[in-house]
Amino acid sequence: MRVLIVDDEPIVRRLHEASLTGWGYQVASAAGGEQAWEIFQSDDPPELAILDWTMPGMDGLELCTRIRALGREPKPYLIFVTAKARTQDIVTGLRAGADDYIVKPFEREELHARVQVGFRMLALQAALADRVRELEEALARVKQLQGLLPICSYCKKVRDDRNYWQQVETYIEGHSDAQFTHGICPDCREKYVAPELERLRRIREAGQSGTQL
Amino acid sequence: MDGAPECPVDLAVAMRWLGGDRALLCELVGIFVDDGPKRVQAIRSALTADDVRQVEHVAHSLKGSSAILGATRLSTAALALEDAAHDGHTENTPELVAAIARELDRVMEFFADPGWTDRLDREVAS
Repeated sequence: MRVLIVDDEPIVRRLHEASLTGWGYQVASAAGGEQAWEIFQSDDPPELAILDWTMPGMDGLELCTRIRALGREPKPYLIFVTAKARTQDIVTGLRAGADDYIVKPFEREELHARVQVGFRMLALQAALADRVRELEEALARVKQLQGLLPICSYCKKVRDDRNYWQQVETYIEGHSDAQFTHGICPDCREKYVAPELERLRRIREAGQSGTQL
Repeated sequence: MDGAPECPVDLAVAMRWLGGDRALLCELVGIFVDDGPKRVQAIRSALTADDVRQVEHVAHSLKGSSAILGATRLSTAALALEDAAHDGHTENTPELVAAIARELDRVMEFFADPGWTDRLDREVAS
């Protein structure tokens, strides 16, 4: 679980580093918005970031806006930790794309709890993304069974997309996760099996009586 | 007598910020002692350059770091300058900067005394 701390104030940065490392997170730091922006554009950006708002150059608000505009998936979880405490500041920060907002001064345990919430949300997002991917894959398989499928009027073989005629069960097994196990339906039992059994019974009786059928 | 408290640093506040981490406090004090005087110089340079935004920014930064170390009066003085710069009220800035410099001197003096760690130990023990 990787956390990026973005704060130009070395004492605040060190305080965050010590706290988060002590809580078991992998921590990286950036002393300003520009440095953090470089990190977020890299191939391996952090999962969660703690952003100061007031910084020289690119401030936290602009950084947050840029990260969201980047549109990366999965989206990093962004927490503002700032002394800007007016309601309008909080609204602005959250509307810029922050997931959470902590006003300084704050208790360390509050930061810990909110970081834990962040990672819970990230885990939930990852689980949902996995489920969506599974559903999309299942949907793609179902779609393979859609469309106009030529079927022989007599033997009921179907023609696949490579122009081969196949048994229906072979075709469906090849285009879905379905598997077939053979049985006999009541109608076919009546139509095919019952006469066959009757024929065999007569043969056996004829054999016993010496009659030629 | 200016009514100032005897001690410019409330170590109990600092320890609360740091979750009782004595070693971390000593480390942060080292950073502050190196960095603090540069902040006042940066404020004065920004004022000379008439860069109000930079004045606000440095004051904001000093406010935050001094609060963590329990230097409450210094933090309050920095906040006054930050607010003034934010609102564009620069007429009182010389007095506000002087107040910051005065409080910073007291904080530096406090941490320059090796006995501050004894006070810290007493604070931890209590």
